[in-house]
Amino acid sequence: MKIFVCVKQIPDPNTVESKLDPATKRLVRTGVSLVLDPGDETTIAAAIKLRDSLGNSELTAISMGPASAQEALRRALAMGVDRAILISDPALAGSDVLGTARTLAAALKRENPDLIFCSTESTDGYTGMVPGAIAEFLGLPQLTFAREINVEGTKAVIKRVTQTGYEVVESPLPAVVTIASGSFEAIYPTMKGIMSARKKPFSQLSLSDLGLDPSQVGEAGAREQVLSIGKAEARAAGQIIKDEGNAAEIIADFLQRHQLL
Amino acid sequence: MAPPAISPTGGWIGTTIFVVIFLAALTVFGLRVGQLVTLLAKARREDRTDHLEERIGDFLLVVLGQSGVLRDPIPGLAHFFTFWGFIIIQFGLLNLILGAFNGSLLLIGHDHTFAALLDLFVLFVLVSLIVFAVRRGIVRPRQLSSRLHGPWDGFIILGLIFLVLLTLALVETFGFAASHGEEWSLLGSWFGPSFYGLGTATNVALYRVFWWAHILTVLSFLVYLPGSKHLHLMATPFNVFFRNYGPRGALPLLENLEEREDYGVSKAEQFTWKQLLDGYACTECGRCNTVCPATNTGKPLLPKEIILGVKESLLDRRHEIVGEPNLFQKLPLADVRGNGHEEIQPLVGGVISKEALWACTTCGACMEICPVSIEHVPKIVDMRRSLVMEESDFPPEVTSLFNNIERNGNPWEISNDRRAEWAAGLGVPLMAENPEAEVLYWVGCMGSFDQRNRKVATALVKILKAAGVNFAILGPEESCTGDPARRIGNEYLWQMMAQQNIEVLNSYGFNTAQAETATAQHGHGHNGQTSRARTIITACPHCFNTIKNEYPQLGGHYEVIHHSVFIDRLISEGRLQLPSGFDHRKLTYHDPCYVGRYNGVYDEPRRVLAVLNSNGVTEMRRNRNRSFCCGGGGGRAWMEERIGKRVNQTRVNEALETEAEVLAAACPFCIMMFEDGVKGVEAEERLQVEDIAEIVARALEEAATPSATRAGQ
Ligand SMILES: Cc1cc2nc3c(=O)[nH]c(=O)nc-3n(C[C@H](O)[C@H](O)[C@H](O)COP(=O)(O)OP(=O)(O)OC[C@H]3O[C@@H](n4cnc5c(N)ncnc54)[C@H](O)[C@@H]3O)c2cc1C
Ligand code: SF4
Ligand code: SF4
Repeated sequence: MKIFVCVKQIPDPNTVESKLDPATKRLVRTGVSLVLDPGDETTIAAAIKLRDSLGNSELTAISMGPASAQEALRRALAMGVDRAILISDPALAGSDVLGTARTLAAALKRENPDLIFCSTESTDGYTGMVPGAIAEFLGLPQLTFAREINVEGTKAVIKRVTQTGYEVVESPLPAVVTIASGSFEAIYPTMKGIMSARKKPFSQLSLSDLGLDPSQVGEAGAREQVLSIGKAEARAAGQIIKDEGNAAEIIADFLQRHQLL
Repeated sequence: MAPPAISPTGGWIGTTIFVVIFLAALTVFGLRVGQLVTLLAKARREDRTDHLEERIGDFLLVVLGQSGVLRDPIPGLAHFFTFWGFIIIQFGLLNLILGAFNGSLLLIGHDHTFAALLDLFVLFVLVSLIVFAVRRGIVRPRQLSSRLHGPWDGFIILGLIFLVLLTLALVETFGFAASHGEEWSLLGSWFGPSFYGLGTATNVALYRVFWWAHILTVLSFLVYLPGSKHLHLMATPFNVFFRNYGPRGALPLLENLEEREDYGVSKAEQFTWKQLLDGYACTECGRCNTVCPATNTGKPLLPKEIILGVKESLLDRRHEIVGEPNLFQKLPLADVRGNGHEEIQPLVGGVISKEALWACTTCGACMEICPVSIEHVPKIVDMRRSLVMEESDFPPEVTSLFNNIERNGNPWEISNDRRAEWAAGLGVPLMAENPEAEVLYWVGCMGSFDQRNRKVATALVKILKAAGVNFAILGPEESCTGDPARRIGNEYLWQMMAQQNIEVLNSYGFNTAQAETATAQHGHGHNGQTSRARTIITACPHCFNTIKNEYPQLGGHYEVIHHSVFIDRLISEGRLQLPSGFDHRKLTYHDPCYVGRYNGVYDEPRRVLAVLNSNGVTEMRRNRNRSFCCGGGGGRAWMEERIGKRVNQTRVNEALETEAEVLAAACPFCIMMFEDGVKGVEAEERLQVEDIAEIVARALEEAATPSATRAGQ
C-alpha cells in the first residue's frame, strides 16, 4: 500500500512566543527556531504503526513549505518514514488554506495514494481545514478523529473518538484520515534512523512540476484575507472566596446563577 | 634433588599411570581455560597498556603485597595469609609430584623450617575454611547468593579445598610413619608416630593411597575451577593489572558514530575483552550490592547481577561466538557454563532487566568498593546506549529531555536565549563583553534556569565579586554539556552538545592545548596574565566532570575547577576574608558523587565549611568515598522513581540521624533532590539544604555587617 502523511514545519511551540507581523498580519515564521509540528510527529507514529502492521507498504511524508522544511522531513525520515517530498516554490508564499490544500492535493494525486494521514489540526495555524480540503480536491472520503486505524481488504476502519467513547467508522480506500491528538506517542529516532535518513529518497517539487498555475496559489490565489488582528481580551480575574463559614453557600449560589446546579 | 624416602607410585607402571592422568587433567584444564580466553579474544578491542610502569608497580603491590585488601585490616590479614598460604602449599604439592619421579624438593627435605611453615599454613587454611563454611551455611549473607552458580558451587569449592588439605595431612602422617621420621613434616611428626604399630608395609600402602587421593583431588579441583566462581582466583590478577588508569569520571567514547554498525551493547560479545574479563574476575563477594543506592531502596538493580549477567550471557552464547562446537566442547566436562538452564535469553531485557539498567544513578559506589577493580558503570551505560540509540526504548519522560537538549540547549522547554536572565542586575559580564576574563563561570542549566539553584549562582557571583575575580559567563552561548544525555545512553546527543560547547570555549581561548597558538595569534598575552591557562569554574559537578574528563575525548582540554575547590583556594590565597565560626548551626556535608568519588575532592569543601561553622562538620554514617548518592545522577533526575523507597529520602534521613540542622551540598542536583526529600519526610522545620556557596556568601554578608544578628542565634 502507498501511505502518505502530510507534515508541516512550524515555529517551536515550546520556546517561540507566537508573534504576528502587524504589516502582513501573519505569524512571524522567520528568525525563530523551527521544528516538525509535534502533533504531526504523533501522526507519523500512527502511520508507521499501520505500515509496519500491513507489511509490503511504503510510507511517504509530504510537506509544503520553504526550503527549511527539509529539516522537518529529515526528522520524519529518521523516525522511520521511507520517502519524503517537499513542495517548495517562491510563488507559494502567502498561501491560505485553499492554496495549501490545492498544492498538496496536486502532489498527492500524482502518487495514487491508498491512504493519506493528516493531523486533526496543526499546532500553529490550527484551522483544521487543510485535511478536509485535500479530501475534497481529490474527491476522497475523509475519516476524522481516529485513535486507531486498520485496513480490512479495501476498506479503512477507524475508531473515531467521541465525547463519550468511540465510534467505529469505515470507508473505502483511498481515503484521508485525521488522527485525534494524544492517541499515539511520538517516536524518538534511533541512530540507524538518523543515519539512514540521509540516504532515503527525497524529492523536491516546484509549482511547474505539479502543473499548477501561480495564480491559483500563494498570495495571488488566496481567497482568505486577514482584515485586522488584535489582542484577545484578557480573561477577567476569577473571584476568590475566603471561607468565613459561608463559602459553600456563596459557591452554590454562584453555580446556581450560572445554571450549573 | 634427592630421592624421597618412599616412592609414592611404587615403580614405573604407577608413574606412567600418574603421568597419563596428570596430562589428561592438565589438557582438560587448558582447553577449558582456552575456551574462556578465546571468548575474550573474539570480543571488542580496547587498549589497556597505557601507564605500563604504574601497572607493573601496582600489580606487585596489590597482588603480591595484597595492599588492596589490607586496607581493611582484619579480613585483609586473613586474605593475605590465605593468598600466601596457597602459594606456599603449592610447594608441598610440587614435592609430592616430584616424588613420582623419584625426586623431592631440597627446600623441604633438608630444612624443617620450610616444611613446618608449610604445615602451619595448612592448619591456618583449614581453620579459615571452617569459618568461611559457617559464614556461607549459617549466616548466609544475602550478597553472597549467586544467580550463576547456585548455592552448591561455594560448598563444592570449599569441600574440594578441604579434601586437598585433609589428604595432604594424611599423606604427611603416613609418610612420616612409613619412613620412621625420615620424611619429616610438622603434621607428620604430630600424628605419624601413633601409626608405627600398623607396621611399615601397611603404612607404605596407606601413604600411597592418600598420595593418589591427594593428587586426584587436586586435579579435580583444577578441572572444576574454570567453570566455578573461583575462576576469579585466576582472573583477578589480570583484572587488577588491566584496570582503568584513565580519569574515573570518563565514560568510554563511542567512536565513529557516522559509520558504525551498532551503538552500544545488546549482545555480550559487543563488550570489550576487559569488560568481559570483569565477569571472570568477579569474586561474587556482593560488596557492590551492599553499597548500591538502587539495591538499598528496593529497585530491581543489583550491580553484582549486572556483572554476572554479562558473564552468564557470554557463556550462553559461546557457541555462537566461537563457531560450531568441536568434539571437546560437546563433552559435558567442557562446559564452562555454571548451571545448565537451557533456554537462552537475550542479554538486555532477558538476563538483565531494562528496569535494572534504568535504576542506576551512575554513582560509582559499586566500582569504588569492588576489591578487584570491576567496572560496572561503563557496562550499564553501554547497554543503555543500545536501548536508546538502537531501540529507542527508554522511560517516556526522557523523550522531552532529549528533544529539549537538542533543540533548546537545555533540559526544559525554555529558549536558551533566556540563559542569562538570572544574572540581570547583578552586573555579571558576558564572555562576549569581557573576552579577557581570567575566569569563566560555567553556570550550567540548573544554575541558569532552576529557581532554587539560581540562588546558588547568585551566591557564587557575590563570592567572585568579593574576591575581585575578573570573571564572565557565556549566557546564551552556553548550552547543556550533554552529561545527562550521555549517561542515559544518548552518546550522539552528548557528542553534538560537546562539540558545540568546545567550539565556543575554544573561540575564547580556553583550550589549554590551543592556548599557546591562540596567544601567538591574537596577542592575548599583553598584560602577562592571560598567558597562563585560563580557568573555568562551575558549581555543577556533572558539568565539571564531563568538561574536565570527557571533553578531552573530542579535543577539548580545559582547566576546570569545581567551585568548592575554587572557594577554598580563594580563602587560602587570602582573597576572601571570612569570619570564622560564624555559623553555629549543626552542619553535615554530603559528598556529591561526581565531586567526591569520581574526582577525589573531599577535603576542600570540608575545609571551607569547618572554618565557617563553629561546630565543624558532623559526618554522616556514609561519607567521603562511601557517600550515598542523592538519587539524581545518571539521568535519574529526569526520570520518575516508580519502584521502592526514595533514594533522596533515604539520604535525608541519614542526615537527620546526625541531628544536623543544615545539610550542605555542592551540586545542584543534590540540592534539588534533597529539597524534595526534606519535604517528603516532612523535615522542613528541622533541616535546611544549602550549597556551600550560599553559606560562604552569607558569611561575607556577616563580615560586611558584623552587627547583624548571627545566623542560628
Ligand atoms: C492570506 C494568508 C496567507 C498565508 N501565508 C502563509 C505563508 O506564507 N506561509 C505559511 O506557512 N502560512 C501561511 N498562511 C497560513 C496557512 O494558511 C496555514 O499555515 C496553512 O493553510 C495550514 O493551515 P493550518 O496551519 O491551520 O493547518 P491545519 O488545517 O490545522 O492542519 C492540519 C494538518 O494538515 C496538514 N498540513 C497543513 N499544512 C500543511 C503543509 N503546509 N504541508 C503539509 N501538510 C500540511 C498537516 O497534517 C496538519 O497537521 C497564510 C494564511 C492566510 C490566510
Ligand atoms: S564487589 Fe566486585 S567482586 Fe564483589 S560481587 Fe561486586 S563486582 Fe563482584
Ligand atoms: S553506579 Fe551506583 S546506582 Fe549504579 S549500580 Fe553502581 S552503586 Fe548502583
